[in-house]
This record gives sequence, C-alpha cells and structure tokens, in this order.
Amino acid sequence: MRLSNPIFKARVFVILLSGLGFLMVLGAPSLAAGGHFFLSALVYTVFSPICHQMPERSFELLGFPWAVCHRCSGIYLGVLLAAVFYTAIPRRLTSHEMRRYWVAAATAPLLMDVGLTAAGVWNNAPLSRLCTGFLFGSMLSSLLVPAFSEFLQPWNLSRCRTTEIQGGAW
Amino acid sequence: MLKPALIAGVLLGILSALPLIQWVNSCCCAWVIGGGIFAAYLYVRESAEAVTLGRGLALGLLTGVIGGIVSVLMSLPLLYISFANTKVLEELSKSVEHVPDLSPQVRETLQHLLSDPLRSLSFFATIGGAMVTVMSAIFAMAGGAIGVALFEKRKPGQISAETPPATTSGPPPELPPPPPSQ
Repeated sequence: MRLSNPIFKARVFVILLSGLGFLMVLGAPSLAAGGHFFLSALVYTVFSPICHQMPERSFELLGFPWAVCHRCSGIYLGVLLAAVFYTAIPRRLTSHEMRRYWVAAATAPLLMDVGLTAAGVWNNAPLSRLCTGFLFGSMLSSLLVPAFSEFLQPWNLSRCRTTEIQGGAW
Repeated sequence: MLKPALIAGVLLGILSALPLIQWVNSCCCAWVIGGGIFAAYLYVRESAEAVTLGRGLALGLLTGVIGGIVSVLMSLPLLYISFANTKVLEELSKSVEHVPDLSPQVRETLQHLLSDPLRSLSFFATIGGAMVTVMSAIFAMAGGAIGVALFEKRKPGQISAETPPATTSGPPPELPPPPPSQ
C-alpha cells in the first residue's frame, strides 16, 4: 500500500504544510478583496515576522498584494511543486555524496541575486526573485521529504530513546 | 542534542529580538534558518555517529522552539514600553473602531483588551509568542535539514574514527614486564 510507504506519507505531509502556507499567501488578498479586512489583516500578520511584505516587491491579486514577497512566494511554490513532483527529482541530486553540492548550487543564485543587488552590480527583478526562490524551495523540498519520512516513523522515537538511555548522541 | 539546540536557539532568539538586527528575519526568516544550520553544524561536530536528515529536522524543531521562546522573552520589555504609552493603545483602539467587517462582540473584546496596558501586553505576548514560536520551529526545521546536508560527510551508520569502540574484542593488551626480583 502507498500509505505505508514513509516517503509517500512524508510527501503528503510536506504538500499539506506548504499547500496550507501557499493558500494563506493567496488568501490574504482574496479576503481583503472580499471585504473581510480583519481576517485578511490576521493572515498578513502571521507572515509579518518572516517576510518584509513590501507591496512593490510582491505579486498582486484582486488589487491587493500577496501576503509574502516574490522570493518567499517562489520558495513556498518550490516546496509545494517539488513535493508534488518528488519522483521527477533525480535521486543522484539528493544522494549522500551529492546533496551538499545540490544545497550550494540551489542557494548560490538566491544569495547572488540578493548580494549583487545590495552591491549595486545587478538589479533584481520580480522574475529573478521568484526563480531563485523557487530553486531554493525545490531544494528544500528534496531534503524535507526524506527528512520527514524518517522523522514521522514511530519506531524512530523508540530508537532515539534507546540511544539516549545508552548514552548516545541523540 | 540539547546543547547545540540551546546554544543556537538562544543565539537566534537574541538576534530575532534585537531592534534593527531582527530585520534580517524579514529576508525569508534568515536568522531562524541560519540558527537551524548552526545547530546542525554543532551537532554534527560533536556526534560520534553520522547524523541523518531526520535528526537534523528534530534538532531544528528544538532549536526553533527555544529560539522562539527566547525571542518572545527578549521582546517583552520593548513591548511593555510600547504598551505603557497610552497613545499607542488609543491609536490601536481607534483603528479597531474603523475596521468595517468586525462583529460587535469581537470589537468589544478587542477594545476591552486595549483599555489596560498589562492586559493588552499579556494578550499580544501570548498570541504573538505562540505565532513566532510555531514559525521559528517550522523554519528552523528546514535549517536543521540544510545544515545536516551541508556538514555531515559521513555515510549513514558510519561512526567517527576518533570515537573509541563501545566493546573491546580480541586479545588483551600486553602488560609491561614485571620488575626484576632482588
């Protein structure tokens, strides 16, 4: 059964979590457009500690800015889509030997987009912010799915407890 | 696991609460993700066996929760100063009046909360604290997984060469020769 597969369970969990996040991102402007300003303000407030929410750096929906900026939208979308199409990600990228290079390769464009703009060498655009965020989010998802598949297994907890009793590193 | 989580959690909590410096968190929660990565670095360095991504996630969760709590505790004095200023509360109370879609009960409850500085402080600290702690935990989990992917070079199940084996097997070590009898 697919449900007994820990990777499948982890994918479903990551899809639900990131899907909820993305729904909230789109929900804030939709609620505001529908006249539900209090609820909309609550959703915007939830994202306020983790994103600058500058309207000029955010997409618009129905005349109101999304709850997060272009880059954060890209990250949430990347996490969601990479979890949906997890089987399409080459296994080699997430293998033990390659994963640190995959992390570096997916993070470098984001850091360069931020750093070069701050240095005045390059002017980032909505598309560059969205794409670099999307790549980072995809990488994140490729790590989160195997990590959650291990984390969500009930036997893991008992194993950790045993290791702790024996003086292990957990 | 507690020690690296505590060190990184306290650090990220302090950085997330300091005025101006906390703005870095607005860049996709950078302090929190960084805190998770730092915790993973400390944990991988001191762990005798290879650290898995799942453990990195658990470490990040712990770091994020500690960081969120520290951040809220650090923000309390600043929040108290803001709420002690009655003008701030009056402004908030006025803005509540202008929200069009608020039901009379919610409006009344909010205005009752905003009528007393200590009451509003405890309300905003509890709600805001819970929100910040949950967000910190989620993003620090991502940081923990990234940190393990970056710093863990040993294969799963592999034990460090520097770590002494748990059980000794084979012949006992040779004893030094006894001193010559006189």
